Amino acid sequence: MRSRTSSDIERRNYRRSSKISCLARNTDDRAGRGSRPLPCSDKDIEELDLLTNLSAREHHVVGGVPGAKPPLRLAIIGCGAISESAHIPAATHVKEVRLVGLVDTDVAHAQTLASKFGIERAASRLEDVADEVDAVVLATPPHIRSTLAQQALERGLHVLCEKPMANNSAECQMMLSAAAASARIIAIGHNYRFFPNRAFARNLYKTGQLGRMLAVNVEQGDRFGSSSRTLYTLRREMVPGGVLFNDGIHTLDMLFWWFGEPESFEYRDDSLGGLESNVELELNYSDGGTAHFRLSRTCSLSNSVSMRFEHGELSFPIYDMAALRLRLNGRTGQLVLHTTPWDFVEIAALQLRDFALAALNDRSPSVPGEDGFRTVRFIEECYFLASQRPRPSKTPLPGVPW
Amino acid sequence: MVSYANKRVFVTGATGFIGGRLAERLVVEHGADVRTLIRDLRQAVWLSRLPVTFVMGDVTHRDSLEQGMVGCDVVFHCVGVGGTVETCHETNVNGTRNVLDAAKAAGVSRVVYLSSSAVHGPNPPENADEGAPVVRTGAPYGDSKIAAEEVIAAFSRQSSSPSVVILRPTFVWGPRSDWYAVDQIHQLRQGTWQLVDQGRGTCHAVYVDNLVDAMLLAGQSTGAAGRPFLITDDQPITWAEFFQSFARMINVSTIPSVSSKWVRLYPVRKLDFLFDRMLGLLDAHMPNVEPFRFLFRASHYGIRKIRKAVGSQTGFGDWDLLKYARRGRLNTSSARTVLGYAPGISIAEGMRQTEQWLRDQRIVR
Repeated sequence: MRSRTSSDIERRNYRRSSKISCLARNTDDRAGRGSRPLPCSDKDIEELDLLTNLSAREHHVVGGVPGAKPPLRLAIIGCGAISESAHIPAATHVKEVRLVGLVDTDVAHAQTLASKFGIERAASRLEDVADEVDAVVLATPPHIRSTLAQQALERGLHVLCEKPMANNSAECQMMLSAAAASARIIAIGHNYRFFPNRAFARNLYKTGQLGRMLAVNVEQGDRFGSSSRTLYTLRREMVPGGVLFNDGIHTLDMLFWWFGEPESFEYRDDSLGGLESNVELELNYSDGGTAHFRLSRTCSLSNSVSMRFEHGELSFPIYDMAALRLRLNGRTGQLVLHTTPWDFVEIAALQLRDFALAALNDRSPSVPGEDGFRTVRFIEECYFLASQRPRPSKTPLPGVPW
Repeated sequence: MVSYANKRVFVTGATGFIGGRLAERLVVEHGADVRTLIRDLRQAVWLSRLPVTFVMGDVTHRDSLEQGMVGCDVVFHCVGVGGTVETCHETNVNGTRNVLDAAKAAGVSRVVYLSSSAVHGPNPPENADEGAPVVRTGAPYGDSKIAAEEVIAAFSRQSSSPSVVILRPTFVWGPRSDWYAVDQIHQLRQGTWQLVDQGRGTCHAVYVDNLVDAMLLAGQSTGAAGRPFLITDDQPITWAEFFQSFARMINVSTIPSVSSKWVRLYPVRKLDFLFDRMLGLLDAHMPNVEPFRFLFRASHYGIRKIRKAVGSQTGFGDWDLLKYARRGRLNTSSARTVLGYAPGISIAEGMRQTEQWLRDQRIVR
């Protein structure tokens, strides 16, 4: 396998699109010690090609799939913050879908958004639009996702369901059964998988270039702030858990996507009978690798992921979609997998296009329902473990996992 | 031994530092059925960790209070805000009136009101107890606390139920305290925190868990009805010792100091005021080109040097200067004898817990 240099990548991508490129800068270069390019395999290039193929920006230039079928007619159920800021604008940009309607129990709000984005229909119930669409994006609070997803699947609609898939694994199972019975797709909105840096780095790992994982450290935390209309993430009647269920689930999905499920784990949180706001999680893998995960919604943490492997290390900021710091076989590099900033609308567009292509071509989406089920089931196990703790005689310090 | 097992209690101000800790301890140590008043759900992230009932409302709206207090035995009224005279009056005074009226309508038997030692002004007399005169200083917060206590006195004259106990804590510190934990670290790190008179004044702290102990006692003490109680840790140290404990957490060795007397001297205050005006005028009118930019920077530098030389540059107002300069005792014998209050956590232990919390929340690294 021939090694490709960073310059190769740059040239190749430059030919593909003037807007899209991959820059690989060596720290050695900056130190003025000459070029020592990072090794990148053909597989890496394919991965980059995949990314650029899926790029929402390039999609504007290139257009739809060659010989494409008619676009997937889509309705978005739940018109809260995530729909307004990501799903709706993304849907209006992806040519494989045609956004037909918005559904929300607050139909006036749905109508306002429909007018704002130029969408034909606004309705208060799924039934009102079910006959006019082929698929739905389910972006309601999680406690009603299972019911709505089953209704949609039973009506023969494909479902792209926001994460967490449902409030518990039993509900997830029912959703999967409904999808199987109706031969329709259920995809889960673990959208961090579509970040270019994650996909690229995972590929390096999966192709064996990094070797065995030795240790992972993830810190994810900010003081709570939410643009959610319902603030369901703080309401026990609507969700079974706090920061792990609502925020940490992305990181858990990433860890499972890369390394699979752990052999054993230790879990601690700061819940005193309510929803946890601080979590310490230790995952132990059968090959000796470990992952430490600190999560908070009461304090600011470094919001970074660092991973140590047999042959190298890599790290990236949690909310950065393109940057990646890599040390491989003794060489260190700083990669930026895109020259222009990415945002969550583009990520939502990648996710939606992946879902649409899966539905149109009868193939599995990048994040199938089984993966959503896996994270929900694991979180359930964490909460079960926490529920077995004896009640403390003294009140723990606020926010400190116990 | 107080117990709130199987009791239903209502807590206002539970999204805050003191009310939040009270709610935690009522749940964990007593298994109480806790109902909390929530004005803004976004502020309830700490509280969401508990199996408590959220009652959406506001102390300025009596309806939500009455609804929340149904079936409650005790109300802990912890809401208190600073700000303008109007804000303080609306929330601290009218809010307290609403809480009392709602508690009466709901059949609550005891209200514990969290007042403040600020009612005695910044510089209470030596060995002051609850009988020391209340002092209106014109500061909106302190004056509104006095007015709220007057509302309680008038209410208690007209109605025997619910009985009301007033607690007057000194400054409250500990985990989750913005004013006396988090801010100290930030300001010490930035070099903007100052001692007053080398920190020789007496620091009458009250650790949050000690105050919560007093509140729990006040909720059930039979002899406490209708009385105010000063609450402190009863372990007076100097302000220098107190703030240096925070400084040590972040390896800051020295804390600058200002002189309370010198700064408060009228000409110095006047000079400070003039400096501010001068800088404002220079900023507004000096053309943003050289050499005026250089002249502006030079003036700024000169004024800063003069301020430092005369010791007039401080963020403290007169109230804080008096508070930090005061040396003397406070008398908490009433709380000890009537409530049975005894501070269970020493300042050293409180500081250890606070540091643990600050490190866990990455405020100290």
